Amino acid sequence: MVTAKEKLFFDAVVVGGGIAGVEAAINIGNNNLKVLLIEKDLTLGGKMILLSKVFPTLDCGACITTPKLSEVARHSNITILTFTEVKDINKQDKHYFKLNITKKARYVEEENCTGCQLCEDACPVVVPDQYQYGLVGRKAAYIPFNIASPRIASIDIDNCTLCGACEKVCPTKCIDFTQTDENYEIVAKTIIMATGFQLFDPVKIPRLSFESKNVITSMEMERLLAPTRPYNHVIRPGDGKGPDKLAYVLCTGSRDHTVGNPMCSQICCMYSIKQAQLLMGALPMADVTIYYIDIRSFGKGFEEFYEQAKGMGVNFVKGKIGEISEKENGDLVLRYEDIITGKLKEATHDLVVLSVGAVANQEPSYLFPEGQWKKDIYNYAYPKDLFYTPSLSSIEGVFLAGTTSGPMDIPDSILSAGSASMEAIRYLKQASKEL
Amino acid sequence: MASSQKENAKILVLSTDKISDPAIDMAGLLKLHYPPKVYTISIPCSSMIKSRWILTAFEKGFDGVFIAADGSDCPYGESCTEKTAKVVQRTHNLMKEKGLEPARLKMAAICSVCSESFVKQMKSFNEILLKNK
Repeated sequence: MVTAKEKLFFDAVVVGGGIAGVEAAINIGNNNLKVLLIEKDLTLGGKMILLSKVFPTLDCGACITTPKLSEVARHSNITILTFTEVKDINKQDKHYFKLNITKKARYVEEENCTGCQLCEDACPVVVPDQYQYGLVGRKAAYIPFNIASPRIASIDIDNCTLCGACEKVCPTKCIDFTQTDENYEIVAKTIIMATGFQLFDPVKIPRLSFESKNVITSMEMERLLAPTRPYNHVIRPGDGKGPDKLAYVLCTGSRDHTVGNPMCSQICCMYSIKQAQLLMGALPMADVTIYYIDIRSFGKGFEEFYEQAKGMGVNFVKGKIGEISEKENGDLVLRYEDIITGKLKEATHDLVVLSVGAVANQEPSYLFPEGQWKKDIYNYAYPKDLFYTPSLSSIEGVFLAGTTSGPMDIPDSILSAGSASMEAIRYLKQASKEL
Repeated sequence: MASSQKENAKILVLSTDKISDPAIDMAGLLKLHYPPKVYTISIPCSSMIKSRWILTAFEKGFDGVFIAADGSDCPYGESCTEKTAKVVQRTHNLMKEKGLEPARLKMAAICSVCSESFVKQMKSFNEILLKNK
């Protein structure tokens, strides 16, 4: 744990603590190099730890992620800073980068918190839980979720009423409202950017009626299905009814020029098919319909997975959704073009899941001095030489891991992190010869 | 009264703090029902368990000891399952010497979200222990 406020030196800094960042940090740490892993959120794990299962193997997402997080947490060469933001990264000379980072105040002494959750019980403030995508509430004094790493509490100071209830019950007296943000200056030889992607916000497509409570995103459905699910059942958020007719709207915010993202997100077809299969298990009587433009099942075992879903009774309709409108009872009418017959049709469903696409996380471009970070037209990082290796960024000594350089699924992300860490290690070895 | 209540075995669970513990914790949060006399002690890794700890538990009146291990996912090393299996084997031999039924010590992998599997394990272990009582 970082405590001193002096200049800190590391061989490598990994920005982003999702699965790609964690994988890259472990790879570099295993080579006896000092690594700093920076995560802006309260917990490591990124998006993967929130998933129910992974496709096409239907392995449990959390069960794969937790051991990795545990490994990174106890690695002697890896220092982890959560709830920390990188402010800027500047190349000082050929071999060194200087990073200014801000460790935001948790209002909890990290080293003393035991994760007992007594503060959570005592806290009187309830706000929507962002880790459950607003499906349930959480307290203002909270641990993000059960398998969070590090599993320590944090005070959401924006919503806190400063009533002091948590302070009274904390057995280790680790709640400290006098904490302030801390700034550190880090010197590192190499940087790995594993800043990930963002999910498309369907509010940008008003015709899909995302404001209706029974229209949810695929990530919300993922939470409804996950082992750490909020309700322990799949129910529709509008009225708590068990859904009987579910619809998936593929390509929401991807392959769509009207929202500025003509790119295929690569993951939506498969995660929708995965969720459909899981729903057939969770709700055996329910009908699941997937409205698609094309099913892009391009990876190993993907086509078989698609066929398996069809065999299980998932209904696939080649059709583009024009409009979703809500009925009085909360059901939804989908107006769509049936591409096979060329006719306009309508169908009623009681829960609609928008399979939202991936969009680039633009944050890395603001960290480097203007003009240094090269992006492609979709704002993903543009590799220096795609044919040589996709891991080199436009800045020497900065490497790209995971979805920083484009949408990809979990195995590809891990592979990309492996490639980035290998390039970084090679770069460090070369640099140590030159120094 | 006590006589009308179903008898339950007293079970000690040795679970790993990062992997198995969250699942056991979540079993409670999800309000899943499992035998009431299950007590949990968390440890970093199942391969660190000593035979004498388990024997002490039996001496102190526990009917069964359950090791909730990490399986092949253990962050402390790939040989964890093997090492834990050796601990279990050694303890089984010691238990036989002391005239204790080896079935009273059980090991299974419980992942971080395996709450339902934990509950199933506890129920079946409870049944086995009650039969052997």
